[in-house]
Amino acid sequence: MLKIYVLVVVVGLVGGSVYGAFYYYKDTQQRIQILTENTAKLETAKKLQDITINTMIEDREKFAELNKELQSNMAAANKYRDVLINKLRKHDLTKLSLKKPRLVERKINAGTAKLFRSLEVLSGAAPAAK
Amino acid sequence: MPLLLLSSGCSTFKDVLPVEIKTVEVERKIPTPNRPQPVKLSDMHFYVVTPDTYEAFKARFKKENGDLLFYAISVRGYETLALNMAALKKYIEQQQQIIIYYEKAVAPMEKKK
Repeated sequence: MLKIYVLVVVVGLVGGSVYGAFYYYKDTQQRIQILTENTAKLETAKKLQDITINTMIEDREKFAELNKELQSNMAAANKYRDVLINKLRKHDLTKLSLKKPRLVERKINAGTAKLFRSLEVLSGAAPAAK
Repeated sequence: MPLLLLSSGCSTFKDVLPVEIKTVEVERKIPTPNRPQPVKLSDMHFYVVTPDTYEAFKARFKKENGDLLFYAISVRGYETLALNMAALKKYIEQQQQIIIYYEKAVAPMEKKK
């Protein structure tokens, strides 16, 4: 009878230990899995953040370059008007027309034709072959 | 107890697989519309007329245009017209530069080698 009691106690102790070990193992595995998932999420977030930062840096560089180009092209667009203003300031058209009407007529018509061609080119037409 | 251990099977001892999360960057593609057809401008002619050349102008004008009917413009008026045209040209050119800017801005980023 005593043997049976001892056996029950031993089996109980061994069973308890095994269950404890099993529970510990299960809990540890769960923790490891959660930590692995968290690490993966953090790594992904870090990669994503790096990509975002790099894209933003590239965008900033691209837009800085584009802005510079735009400002330079905008300034270049003033050229024709500035040249014209200077020409009109330099020459007294009334006096010149009275003196050399045919010459002025040729010049202003050539200038008008040239302006029209430049507007055509500006709208996308192919420049005339020289 | 051994029955309990046996019934839990091999699933208890399976390996923990690493979680793989992939984020794929998809670049936006904004289509740029076609540009309008280029303009074709017709030529026009200005006559420069002075008191000395008026008679010759009348004959020439009639010969070239049929009737002696014309719209006159002063030298100042011509200068204003030329400057206005220059302002319009500048405006069109600048607008076009802005379009080019946006076209380049939305163009896909070139991959660095």
